[in-house]
Amino acid sequence: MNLFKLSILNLKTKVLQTFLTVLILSLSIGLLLGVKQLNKVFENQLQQSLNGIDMVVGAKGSPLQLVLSAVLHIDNPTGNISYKEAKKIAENRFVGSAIPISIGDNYKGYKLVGTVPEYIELQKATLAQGRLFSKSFEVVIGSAVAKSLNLTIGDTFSSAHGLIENAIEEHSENPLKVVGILAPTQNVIDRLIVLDLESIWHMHEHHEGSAEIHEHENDEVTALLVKFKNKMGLLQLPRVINENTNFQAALPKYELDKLFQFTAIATQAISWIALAILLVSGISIFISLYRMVLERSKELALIRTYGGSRTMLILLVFTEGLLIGILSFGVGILIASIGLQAVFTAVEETYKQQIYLLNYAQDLLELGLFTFALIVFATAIAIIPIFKMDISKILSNEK
Amino acid sequence: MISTSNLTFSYDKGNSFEFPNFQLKNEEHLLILGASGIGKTTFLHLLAGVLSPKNGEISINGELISKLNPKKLDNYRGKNIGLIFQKTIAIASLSVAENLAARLYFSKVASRQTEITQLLAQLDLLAVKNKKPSQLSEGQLQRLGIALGVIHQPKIILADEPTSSLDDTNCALVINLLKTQAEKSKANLIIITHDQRIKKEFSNTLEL
Repeated sequence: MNLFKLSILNLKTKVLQTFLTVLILSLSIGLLLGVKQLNKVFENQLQQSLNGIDMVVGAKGSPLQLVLSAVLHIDNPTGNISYKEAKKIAENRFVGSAIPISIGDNYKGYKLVGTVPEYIELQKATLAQGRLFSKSFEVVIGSAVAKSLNLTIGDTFSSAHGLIENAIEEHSENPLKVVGILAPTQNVIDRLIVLDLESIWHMHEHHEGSAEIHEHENDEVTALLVKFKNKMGLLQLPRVINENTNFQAALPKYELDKLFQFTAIATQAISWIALAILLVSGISIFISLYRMVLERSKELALIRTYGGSRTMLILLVFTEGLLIGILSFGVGILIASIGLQAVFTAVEETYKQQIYLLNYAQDLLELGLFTFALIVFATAIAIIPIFKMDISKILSNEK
Repeated sequence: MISTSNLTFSYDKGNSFEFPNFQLKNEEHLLILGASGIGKTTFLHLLAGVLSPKNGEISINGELISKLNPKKLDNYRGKNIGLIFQKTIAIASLSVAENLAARLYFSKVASRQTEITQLLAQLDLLAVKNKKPSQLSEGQLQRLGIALGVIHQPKIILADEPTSSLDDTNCALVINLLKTQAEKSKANLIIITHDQRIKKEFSNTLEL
């Protein structure tokens, strides 16, 4: 027999009350943990996907849409721009690098990105197998694409027109051949199929049945991903482009920060609710312990006659609180893990993007310490009657 | 060897008790008789070290327990005193055997399963050793109270009205059990009661 065993048996005796306390506490822990992770993971995922892209130039429309489509590949493009005109921007003295991309086709839901080989470098991706594309209709695929479609080097497939999966308009005349597979980056490129710009242009000429001879003069791209040479570019270029050209220049960091401001309100609201529940569960632990001290005053007095010190009684109450805390923390982690897994799976299905937990141990530690503090606090108030306890009076008071 | 001298106690200014002096040699028994409301339980709690006297001294085997600091008193009480209540108090969430183990744990006495089993057998509680106190009959509960008072082999067994709610047969049985257990642990047995039936069982009596 020891304090730990006695506490467990005490909790087992009042199983309903214990269950309720654990339920409330674990729900709030789970909620806080989940919201914290989601916030962190999504913000990080999006920020990481920017990969230092300072500016996106594309067709006029919503700047957020341009950023979401050209950088994160989770929205439809605003339209196309002339490649010839776009190249002029690339020659501006403030521009460090400018990578054109052309999007608009998919294979089984995975987007095709027509671009230049530098795009893969921009996304900080490296080849796991094979080589980069060197001629038209050769593709390099992201790790998630390779994995979920079970594609290997040398496989061929036909893409479809449009960004959503359908088999109605297949570019079946020009099958694409896999020449390279990228290593996982936990970045958008994992779910992209990358090929050269000419392939995209060819496919659409055939599709539209236009001339055999190809003229690059009139070709279009969806957007230009720009990195500035220095800070001056940020001050000058967007304004110049927006005022003097038919294009629009959007700043990804600025657009995403605006987006986070909206989502932050929602996540903050949930966090406050979770904190409120945590407070309630703190009170519930206190009531549970306080009631134990009052209802079992006879047992506690008895333990004193057994030679148990006051410290022993305090430890007994604390152990009971701690057990509730540990149990709740475990259940809370379980709730959060199940919830996060569900959200991640849903995101993966919708956006074909794999998501991973971020600094989870740190969040666990923080919340664990917080829960511990809550229990120490609840115990500290609950044990007050122990100090005022008159053993003799309790023992001679017959009920 | 137990002796008390000039013990007084008061709960508040108007209400104070004075207790007679007595001396007991080792293994001697004592019956303290008195009507309700004259501080019988208070006297018992003073002897048990649960209350501290206002004046006077209690000496047990040469040690002044009325002068011990709280921590030493806790230890002393746990090892040397066995309190038996009129209505048994036990830990509700523990079984009979677990209650005995818990008693030994808090008294810092090494717990031996064979001793617990032996005592339970002596008190006819072996059949209910895994039952909770709330599942016991009155008689079983009373015997559990005795078991809790003697399992740690105390030097002094203090019983508070152990027989007042019992019929004559059970009264004799309980007194017999208490005496037997006291002899086994070579302890002084002090019974405080208003129950005149057991007067003949003791040679040493003290009227309050």
